[in-house]
Amino acid sequence: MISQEMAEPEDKNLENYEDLLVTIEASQGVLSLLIAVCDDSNFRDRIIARYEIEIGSDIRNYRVELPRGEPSIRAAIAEVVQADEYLQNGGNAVLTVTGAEKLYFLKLGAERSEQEIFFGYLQWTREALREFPYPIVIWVTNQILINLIKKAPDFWSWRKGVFRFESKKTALISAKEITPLQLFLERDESPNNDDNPYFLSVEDLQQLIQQIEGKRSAEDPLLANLYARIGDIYNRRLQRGEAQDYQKEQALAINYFRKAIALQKKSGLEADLSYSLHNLAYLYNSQGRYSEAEPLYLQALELRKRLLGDEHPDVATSLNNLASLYYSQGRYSEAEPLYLQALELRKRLLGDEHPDVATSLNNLANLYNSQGRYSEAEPLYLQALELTKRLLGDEHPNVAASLHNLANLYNSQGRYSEAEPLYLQALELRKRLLGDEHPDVATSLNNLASLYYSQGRYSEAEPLLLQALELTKRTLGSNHPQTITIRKNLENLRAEISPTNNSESTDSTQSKEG
Amino acid sequence: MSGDLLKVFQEAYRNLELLPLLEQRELDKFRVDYGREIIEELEQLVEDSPSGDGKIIFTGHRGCGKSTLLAEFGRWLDDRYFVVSFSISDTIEMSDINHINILFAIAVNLMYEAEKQQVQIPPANKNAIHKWFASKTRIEEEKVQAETSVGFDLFKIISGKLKADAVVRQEIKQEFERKVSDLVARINEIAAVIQVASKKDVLVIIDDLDKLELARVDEIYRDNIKALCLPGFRIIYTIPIAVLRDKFLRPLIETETNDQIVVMPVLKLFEKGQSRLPNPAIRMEAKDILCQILNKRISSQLLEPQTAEKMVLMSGGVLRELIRIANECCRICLRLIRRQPAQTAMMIDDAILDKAVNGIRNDFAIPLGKVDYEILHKTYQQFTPDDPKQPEFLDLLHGLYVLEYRNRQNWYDVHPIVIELLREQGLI
Repeated sequence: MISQEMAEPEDKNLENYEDLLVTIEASQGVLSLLIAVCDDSNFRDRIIARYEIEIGSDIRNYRVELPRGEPSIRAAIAEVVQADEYLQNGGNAVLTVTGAEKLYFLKLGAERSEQEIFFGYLQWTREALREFPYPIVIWVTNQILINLIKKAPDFWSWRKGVFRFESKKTALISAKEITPLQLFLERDESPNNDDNPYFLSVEDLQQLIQQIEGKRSAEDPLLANLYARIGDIYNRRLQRGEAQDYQKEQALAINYFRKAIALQKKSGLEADLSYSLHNLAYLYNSQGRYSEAEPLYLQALELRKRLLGDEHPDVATSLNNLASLYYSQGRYSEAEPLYLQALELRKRLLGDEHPDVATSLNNLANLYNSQGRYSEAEPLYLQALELTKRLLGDEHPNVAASLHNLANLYNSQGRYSEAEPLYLQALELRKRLLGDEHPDVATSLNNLASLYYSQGRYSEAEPLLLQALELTKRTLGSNHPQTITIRKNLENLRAEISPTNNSESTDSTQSKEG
Repeated sequence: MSGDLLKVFQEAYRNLELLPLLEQRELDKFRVDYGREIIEELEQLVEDSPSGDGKIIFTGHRGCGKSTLLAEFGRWLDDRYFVVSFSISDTIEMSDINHINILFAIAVNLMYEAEKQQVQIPPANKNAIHKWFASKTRIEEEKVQAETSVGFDLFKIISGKLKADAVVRQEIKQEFERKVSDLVARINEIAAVIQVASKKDVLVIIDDLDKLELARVDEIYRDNIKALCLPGFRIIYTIPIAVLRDKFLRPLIETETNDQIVVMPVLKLFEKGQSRLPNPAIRMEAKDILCQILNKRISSQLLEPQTAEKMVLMSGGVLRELIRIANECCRICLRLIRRQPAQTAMMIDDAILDKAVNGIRNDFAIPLGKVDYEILHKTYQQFTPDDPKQPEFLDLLHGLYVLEYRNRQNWYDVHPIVIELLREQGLI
């Protein structure tokens, strides 16, 4: 698992891992301050587990958890050492220190933030740490690293190595994401540099919300704005594949949009309400909760038409999304006129050269493909792909989606040799841009498997379906329509290859996901 | 065979220690004759102190060998002076440092050292001193009685208490804040007793005061420099080098210490401007010292001589950064050995050095923003920034992005490893 992950972004992770390993082994008997950096705590845990197994058997592993409140690294290590005779006798060991990632960056009303206290201890404890003659691996996030360099400069200068591990998923939120919350922030909590991609952690954000909620009455209309912006942050993290825990952050996004909607309704903030309704519907749709999504989309559409008039790009978006919902439900005849309306509106309002137009073309083509209207679908797909590439560049998730869709079409038409390279390209692109833990990656795996299935390449299809199933279970849950589809595909495949099966009599019901 | 290769690189890696050499054992192994002039300068100030109570301020850039030098200096004067050398960070938490507990820490460490060296203090004096300490640090009477015979431990306890117990620190501060002279009088008594008993003048060296945040240093020195200069014996205080740029603090400190400020410089590998020339003239004495430092720690069989020289130039003359580069090189070799355990020979060559330097450069790049790059660019072009007092410039200076070299006039240059970052940014 890890070696795959490591090979994926770059060989850099593997190289850094080996650096860390040889350093731990070479540092026996001397204090060695090693700084390991990873923004994805799940990935981090797997790396720790791996080096704890792979280092020489004569080196014992110890875990040190930094306490909240008074995060003194010396005290935390001393506690572990005092409780252990082997360490006191100077036995070979590696001490892994975690918990820094949990420390709040924000002051939250205190004089100094937990992180500042932590840096204070670091800066001031070199001499005291010399009594611990072991390699000490201190795990931090990029957000902590930047501040550590500035606030504990002497400690930084005693580091014996920095080991970075990159992952698409991240527990951190950039300064840019926080900018819309400016209104609610204390001056010294606001980012002073919009470029900082590691401004604060998801945990900090949760605390920040609680703090703001504490200062205002629950009915304060301003909170509606806060909730909606927070919902946006989580929603974007989901779409970009940054979420640490897909389902948990999805639930948070839904929760905040619901809170926003409740307040916006009370305060009559209709324009804002239409966006919140729209976003919540989108999230329900992606969870497969179609019947809950539909009334929300309809409400949002109605509001937008009333507030913005019929001729507005946002109205087009509402039409498009409602159509997508119907499409997901198989209500093709209801979807088509809406898709056409949205496409026409977008072309007129945004011009032919717009990414939204490409999206509309794509969606319409999907519909035709599902209806078996292949000859109508193909030119639309090709047009969409060309437009997307030109407007958004080759490295964009929408390009991956376009490639994937076109492959679907060729697959449906039995043009397998044309479909395969497109599926592979889309899969590679999605993994790279969205990370391994994203539902779209599962879709790619499933559809590639269905292609192999159609070609009778069962042994190649099965591992892909297994991967896809595990991934959808993790990201979307066991009862999501897509999970169910993939599970069914796997069952069909297994029935096909089971020795008791008579292949002549099986009617393939392999299905695809768009 | 490769087992041996692994072992020699592991040993080299362990020898490339970034922390100061404080123990005699480490010094014997790794010390090179470095900073001789600085030791002489300090010695002269100590020796020439007319009334035996001179205060000396010692400062310099991060990682250029200050702590190692102070430890060595203390040992050098050991037979002539009663030297009390300690790190303030071992005695008091950073968040709680003030002039009162610095003075109190001096008192504790005076006694700690006296008992460690078994200085024969008359019992009556000793008792009085112990009782005074016990009452100030809330250690019960019986404990003092029990501890007196092995008094050495008493001061360990007091020292521990001072570090751990914020209430005690607060009480001490409250008691003496308005009557510093009482505290100083007590410290002077202790010093006098020790001087009589040991027949040596007292010299106190306080390290790691330079690790304080500037704001804290300002509080401590701005209003209390006089108090810190009150004790009637010689003291060497460390301070962050940034203080020397403060137009208020610097004159204040100069006046109070009678201008006894010693700066430990970065080793100058080039004269100003030389490093920009195609074939720059290297200052051989500086280069030789740094090469020697490498030789002490890493066998010449593991490091190509011309690579060692390049390594030295890449350090910009900062000791700790030199060690860091060598360290990084060793790590790369260790990784290569791990990947191909069958190989029997390996040396750190230019290619490995390049990789190592790239890694360190990435660390340098992490916190840099647009303003920083502009300052670095200017400094590279002019050997000085537009505004040497600008906070961002000072941060760069303390982070060793910019190095300060001393001549009759000071000049600055961008760290050799950082120059490449300017190139990557398209600035040069």
